[in-house]
Amino acid sequence: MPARPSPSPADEPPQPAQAFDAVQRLREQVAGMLPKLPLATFPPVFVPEPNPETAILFILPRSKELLTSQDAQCLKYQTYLLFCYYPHRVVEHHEHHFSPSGQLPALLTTDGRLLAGNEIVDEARSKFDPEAKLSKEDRARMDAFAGLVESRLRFGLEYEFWYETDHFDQIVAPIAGAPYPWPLNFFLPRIERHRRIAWMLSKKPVLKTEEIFAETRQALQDLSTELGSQLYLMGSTPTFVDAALFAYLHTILSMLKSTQTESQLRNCVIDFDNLVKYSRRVWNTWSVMFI
Amino acid sequence: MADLSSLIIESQRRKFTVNSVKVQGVVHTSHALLEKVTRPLLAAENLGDLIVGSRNVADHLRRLDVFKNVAIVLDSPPGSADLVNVIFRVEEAQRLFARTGADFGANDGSMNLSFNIRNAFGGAETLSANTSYAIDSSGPIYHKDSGDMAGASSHQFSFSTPIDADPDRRFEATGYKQSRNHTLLMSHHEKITGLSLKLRNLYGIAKQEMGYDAVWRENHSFEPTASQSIRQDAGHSLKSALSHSLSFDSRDDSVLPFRGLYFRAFQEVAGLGGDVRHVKAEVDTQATLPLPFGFVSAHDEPQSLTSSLRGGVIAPFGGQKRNRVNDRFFLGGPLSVRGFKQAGIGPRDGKESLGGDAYWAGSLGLLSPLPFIPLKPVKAQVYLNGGSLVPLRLDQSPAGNAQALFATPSVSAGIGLAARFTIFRIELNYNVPLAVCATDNIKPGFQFGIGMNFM
Repeated sequence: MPARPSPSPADEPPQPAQAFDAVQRLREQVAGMLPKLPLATFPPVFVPEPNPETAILFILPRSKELLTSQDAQCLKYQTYLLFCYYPHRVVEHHEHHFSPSGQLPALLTTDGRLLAGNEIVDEARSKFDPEAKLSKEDRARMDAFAGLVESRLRFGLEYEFWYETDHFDQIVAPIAGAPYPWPLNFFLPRIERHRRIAWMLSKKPVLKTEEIFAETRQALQDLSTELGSQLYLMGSTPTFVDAALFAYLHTILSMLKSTQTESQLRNCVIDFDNLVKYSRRVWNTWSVMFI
Repeated sequence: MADLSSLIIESQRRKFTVNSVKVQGVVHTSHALLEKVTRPLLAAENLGDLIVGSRNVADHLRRLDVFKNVAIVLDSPPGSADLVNVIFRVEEAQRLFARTGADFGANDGSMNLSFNIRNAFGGAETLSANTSYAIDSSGPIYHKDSGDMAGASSHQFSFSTPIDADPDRRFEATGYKQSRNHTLLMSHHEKITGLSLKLRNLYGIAKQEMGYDAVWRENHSFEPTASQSIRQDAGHSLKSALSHSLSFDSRDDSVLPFRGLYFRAFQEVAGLGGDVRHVKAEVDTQATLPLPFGFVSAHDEPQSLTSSLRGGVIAPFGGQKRNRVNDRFFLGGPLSVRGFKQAGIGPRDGKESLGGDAYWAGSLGLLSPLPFIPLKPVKAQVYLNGGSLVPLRLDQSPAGNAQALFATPSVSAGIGLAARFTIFRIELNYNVPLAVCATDNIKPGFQFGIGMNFM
């Protein structure tokens, strides 16, 4: 039986790894011959605006006489940023949809984040926390009074501005409709009114004027007692609850000043002399910086 | 038969006077309308006029889309030789029809309901109402703010009537309310409420349309990640605009043509009230020519060279500095510039397509019948297409803007199949991008397209 000739190394079947390498090389060669796609890449046709150098607080429009927003919520954050010495500038905007929460104000930070509501408070505190020195008890008191302001004062204000037909027609509707063309300037404030009344009815089954203002008066009484003759509610430095209280008092006192129908809410506030003086004091201290 | 024809031809000039015209079988159609349609018949003087006239009237009645069938009867009253009574026997079509359906599209499923009344007031008017509701399968079904399903919905009510009983000239009034989900291309939802009035003239070779639109748009529910560029346009705007469009179409098949020309121009001026002021102009052209000399398959189906060119510009005026995203143009995708994703060309911020104020797009391609199935509406195609979409810069000269528009075209080439199914065209192509802008959203490789108006 003749011996089988041993296969020469050249005839050996290539190892899988070698075959893979060969295919890879061939692919690279072919790819090298083909033009690289796409053949041309142009610069973008549009470059988005860079982040602002100073943070921007977007608020609902200010009135002609006053430098503050005509919206108490916007004024609250506007004031608090001042209390925190947060570097920013103020830009007017009239679209609530602009804000991530669907409610102005909104704060555009220098790193391009757009914040709303409590995020603004947290951001402002990260620069300077006016409440840092408060004791645990004081902090709890502050939260309790902030809760009181936000529930009772806000409800009273919403009711007086949005529910009371005279105030709505004379003050609120012209301001809320001003940025829009006819007939949106008629419909949009009324749609918003409907929404706000629905919000009020979600809190109370029946809207009774006497009951609402009695509650507001009680809240004002408590705040007045707490304030006493102090500079601010929590002592000598302003805190978040001062920003809220000032925003509501200032809005009530300034915007309901020259209405044809007498404002019950404004009369409530005027009865508390130290609150009126407080509002005036905060305004005088900080107004230079509202610009 | 020949005798009858010659008899008619010979007696064409025989004097006849129309004694009366009657339309039998009318239930709802108004007399005023019928009088207007049949009036020309009274002028008939001889048999020829009478026959041609009555056929025209019958044709006119059919085109009003009110009658199921129309028959003509000519009758002589007893005792008179040259008086004729013309009787149209008609049967009115069903006046009321409703339809329900369910469709599914690329990203959503939808339900729709439509309700139509034909010949509503007896003057061949049409009243129609339809509503559709879509469910978006790409996102959560319930939207956190509104509690609504986060899809698109549309409700529409329209009234349409022929002008002066002429079915080729129509007046149309439509009220509509739509909600659109733009989260695929941008990051928001849009509510649209509008009223539109249109005068249509379909007579002659070029169709014309004059329109007035009042539309209230609301951009809302922006995603937390939405960019500042798109947030700028948050909120309400009211557009009140006059528009005009002119179109000419001689293509053998408007969906998958082999020969013919198409031209459409659209102009719009917004600013009669409202807070949107712009001038908008758009042109869309397509020319498809069968190739000469031998580029013809065995079944005489030609290969065709097809080219399209589109362009548009929208310029703000009257103190307005920029156009809102609701009005801007979008470019790219299987129906416009293939090889790019939907709205993949032009200004972008992050993942959002912002749209632009001026664009052009062009395509040059070859359409060829396939072997073995040359007569089926399935064709092979190879094409080169491209375009550009830019923001208008008011601080620059027109020349500067033109340069920005034409200097950086996004171009791709591809090969694939195109088929027509009923009124839709479906395409499957393989694309290679040749030139792109750095921010373009390209789609190299296979791309599927379905639609009616391809470039």
